[in-house]
Formats: sequence, C-alpha cells, structure tokens
Amino acid sequence: MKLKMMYSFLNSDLKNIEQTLEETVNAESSLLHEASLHLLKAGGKRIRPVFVLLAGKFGTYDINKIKDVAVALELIHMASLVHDDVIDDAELRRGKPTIKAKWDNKVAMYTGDYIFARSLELITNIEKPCTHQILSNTLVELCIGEIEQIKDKYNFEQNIRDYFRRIKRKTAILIAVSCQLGAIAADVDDKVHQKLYRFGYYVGMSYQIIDDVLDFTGTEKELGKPAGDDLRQGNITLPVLFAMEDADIRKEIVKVRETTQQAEIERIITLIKSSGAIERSLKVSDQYLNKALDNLKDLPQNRAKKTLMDIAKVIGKRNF
Amino acid sequence: MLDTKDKVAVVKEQIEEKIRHPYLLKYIQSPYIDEDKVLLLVSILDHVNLSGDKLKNYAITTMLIQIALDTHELVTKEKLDAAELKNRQLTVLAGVYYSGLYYKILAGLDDIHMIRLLATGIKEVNEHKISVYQQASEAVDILMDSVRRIESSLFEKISELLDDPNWSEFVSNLLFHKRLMKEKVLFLQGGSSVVFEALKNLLFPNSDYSNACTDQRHVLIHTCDRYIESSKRMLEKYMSKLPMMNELLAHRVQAIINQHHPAGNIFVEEG
Repeated sequence: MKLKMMYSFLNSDLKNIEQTLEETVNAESSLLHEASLHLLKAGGKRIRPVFVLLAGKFGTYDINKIKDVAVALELIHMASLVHDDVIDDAELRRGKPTIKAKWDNKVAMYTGDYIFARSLELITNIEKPCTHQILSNTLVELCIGEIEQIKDKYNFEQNIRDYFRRIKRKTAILIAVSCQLGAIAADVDDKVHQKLYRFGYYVGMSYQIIDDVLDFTGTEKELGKPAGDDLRQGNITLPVLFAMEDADIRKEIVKVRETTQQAEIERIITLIKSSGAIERSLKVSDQYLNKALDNLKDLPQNRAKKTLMDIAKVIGKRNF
Repeated sequence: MLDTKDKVAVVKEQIEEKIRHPYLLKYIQSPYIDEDKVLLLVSILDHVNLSGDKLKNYAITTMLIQIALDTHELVTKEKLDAAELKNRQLTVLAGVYYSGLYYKILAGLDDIHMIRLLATGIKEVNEHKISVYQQASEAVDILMDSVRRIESSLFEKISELLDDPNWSEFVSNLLFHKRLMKEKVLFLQGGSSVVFEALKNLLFPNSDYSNACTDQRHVLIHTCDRYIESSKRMLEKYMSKLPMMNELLAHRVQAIINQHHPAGNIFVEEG
C-alpha cells in the first residue's frame, strides 16, 4: 500500500494544514511570498505533519491546536531546506529549481529566516512551556548536527557512534519531536508522549540508514544525483564505516575526495557492496525499526497506532 | 547594584560566551557585537519592571537575533572554491545556531510572550530586507521606511514593553540614523551600499550604480543627508522627552549625532 493511502483518513486535516501553510507564508513582500510558495508548491511528503496528527490521536484531538504544531514543524523543516540548499549550493530540489537557484543566496537567506520566524510565531500559540523547551533544544541540536557533518567530512577516523550521533541530530530528532509534540498538544500522559518520541526517534534512525544505503544501491535516475555522491562529498555513512573494517577496502575509500572521478566512485561502490556492508546496514536499520514498533506495543489500540506501524514498515522496506 | 556601564559589559560578556563555538569561530569571523545596541537595550529595559536576570536575558536574546541576522547578511552570492565554500556553509549555520539560542534561552525561562514578540521582529526585518534588496520600493520615503524598520523592528519590540511611545520613536530614529551614516560612508568610499543602490534605482533608474556621474552622486548623498538630518532633529526632540535617559546613552547619542557632516560641508572641505 502506498504511504499516502495509509493515512487517507487524515486527508481533510492534511488539507487544512496545507491551506494554513500557504496562509502562514503570505508575506507582504511579493518576492518573499513567491519564494516561500515556490518551495511549498514543490511538494514533499509532509511526513512530519502526518506524525504530529497521528500522535495527537492518542489524546484529546483538537485539530485547531494540533494544526499549529504540525504547520510550525513543517515550516521549520522548510526553512532548514532553504538554508541547506545554500549550504550545498544545490540547484534542484524535488526536481525543481531551489530558491537560491531561481533567485539567489540573499533571497534564500531572507526567505529561510522569514519562514523560521513565522514558524515560531505560530508555535507560540501553544502555551505549554515544555513544547518550547523540547522544540528549541531540538533546533539547536539539529544545527549542531549540521555543523558536525561539515566538521566530519572526509574524516575517515570517525566511528559508528559518531555516525549515529550525527544522524540522530540530522534526521531522527525532528521526527521524534513531531510525534512527541503532537501528543503533548493533545494532552496525553507523559509516558505516552515519551513512547511516541522514542518511536519517532527509532523510525528516523532507520529512515536515515536506508537513505544512506540507497546512495550506493540506487541509480542516478532514482537518486537525482550520481550514485555514491554522499561519499564523494565526504559524508561517511554506515555502509562506508562497515566496509572500511576491511583494510584493503579502507585503503581505497580514504583516497576519495570531491574531485574523484565517477568511474573510481563506481569501483569503490562495487567494493562496498561486495563487503557485505549494505546487508549489515540494512540489518541495523531493521533493528531500529523493531525498536520503534516495540515502543508502540503498550499504547492503546486505535487506527493511529496501526497507521504508525504501517508507516514504519513501509519506511523499512522503501526502495525510494 | 550595577551601573549602566557594568550592565552593558556583563551582557556583552555573556553574549560572547553564548556565541563561542570553537569550530565555527575557527572558520568564520567572530560576530560583531554592536555595543550601542547593547547600551540601548539595557537603557530601555532598566525602565521596565524586570528582575536583573530577565533584563539580562532579554538583552542577550535580542542581541543574539541581531547577530544571527547580521551573520546571514555575510552570506555571499558568487561561486566559490572549496575552502571559501566551507566558510559560507558555516556562516549559514552560525546564523541558524545563534537564532536557535535565542529560542532556547527564552524557552528555558518559559517566556512564550517574548519568543513571539521577537519572532515577529525577525519576520518584519526580513520582509523589509527583501524589499530593499529587491529594490521594490516605489518612492524614496518608502525605501527609507524599510531601512528604518530593518534597523529598528527588533528593538522597538523591546521598547514596546514600556508604556511610552517616545522610547520607540527614539530607538527607531537612533538606529535609522546610524545605519544611514554607515551606508553613506560605504558609498563615499566606493563600496557596495544596498541602500544607495536602491536609492539610485529610484532616482536614476536608467543608469548603472557603479557608473554614477558626479551630479548623480551629489543628489544621492544630499538625499541621504536629508534623512540623516531629519532623524537627528527627531532624536533631539525625543531625547528632550525622555529626561530619565541615563547619562551614558545620552552622551553616546550626542557623539553619534555630532559625527555627521552634511555633504555641503564635505564638498567645501574637499573643494
């Protein structure tokens, strides 16, 4: 079953969220409005709002309250994408020109900062202090994660713990917090929102590991960039770390630089694949997925729980 | 009890401590902390009924945002080589990091109202920054209003905590005055001034900024001077309405005002 079909019962609320997203970026400046909408209309899975809504179903579900959390988190994600495209000097996102490519870096920076401000204006409709403590801490962690990623580029001495800490900050924490804050906005017990946090965290870890595997197993058409591009950019991911346990493969990998030719990258991909690193990485991803599912066990039986389980399983099996 | 000078020093020191990130500072320039802005914040907040801790944290968080926005101003547009690109990447992240700290500090104080107030300030600043950058203003007055709001939106949020509109007017004129002075110096020294570029586009839309002739340059400088002089008069007016202003700020404002020499004088001296 396709991801969107799984949560089709949320469609009217997701439509409501989409509308609020558009209204929220309705800037006075036509350029700012156009740039924000450009990003919004490029689509995206809206996976964070989905997690917020599903987590909210475990408590008193008031869409007007929960919506503020869902929209704010999606806006934070959007703001980070705009800034990331400047960081990565990226021309395309989801097959469309990035804001920095369509306009320039200045417009991208102003748009990212504007969207960030709008998200905070919105989330402050939630009067619970813990919401802000959790979210603000997450934002700082996310940023530290990105700084660490730059710091660790081409650092072939890093270990698996460094990798896990980085992907926690980079991906898992925002999914975890989406689940947790959705539940908090719905006034659930502490135990429930903590379990949902852990569910999101483990799903996020699993998701990122698969993403990192796909960089080696996907085709250029599927990836939208050449296979092994993450490695060429100096991002040392789990398959690479596993493969480097073999001293001969390690010798080849540590030579990789941004200027390394694609033919050489392809040769290294073959070495990584032959080392069993892909299967081992997928096994770790599965372990995270099982931990995610474990955290749902004690939660009340409802449609949201089933959907969270289904989504987790799809993420675990995804090809793209 | 700390005096104003000590309070400014404490706030500045704590800002330096918050933004100290060894890896970032290895690659990007250490952020500039505008002491005039710290003095302004401390002076305003001294009149709000706040605990010493809150005063300090409001000043720190407002300055963190200012530093975050200033840091993002340093993000360049051109294609760069790998080493320069790393500097730009970390400049983007530094700005994000500093603005995250503002949220984290105020969230730690459960101060949701102030988080919202300052977020609205960030929103307004960026609305006007893009308008000036895009050269979207249809008249000089509109352009200058945007420049004024870029400089003052955040600080006006703080002055609104006082039930005295004279403070807001004072803040807005002081920061506007300082910015125009800075832009004028940039222009006179042949540098790139976003305000003069927008002004030039409004007054002489058919000629290049870089090739402005002497007459055009004089008109641009005189136009800027008109707004500087006007903000100076307003500053004097509102200072007289704020007799409780501390001496340090009053002296500093006087010094800033006295720095300005209208273009006529410069040309006479040059002539």
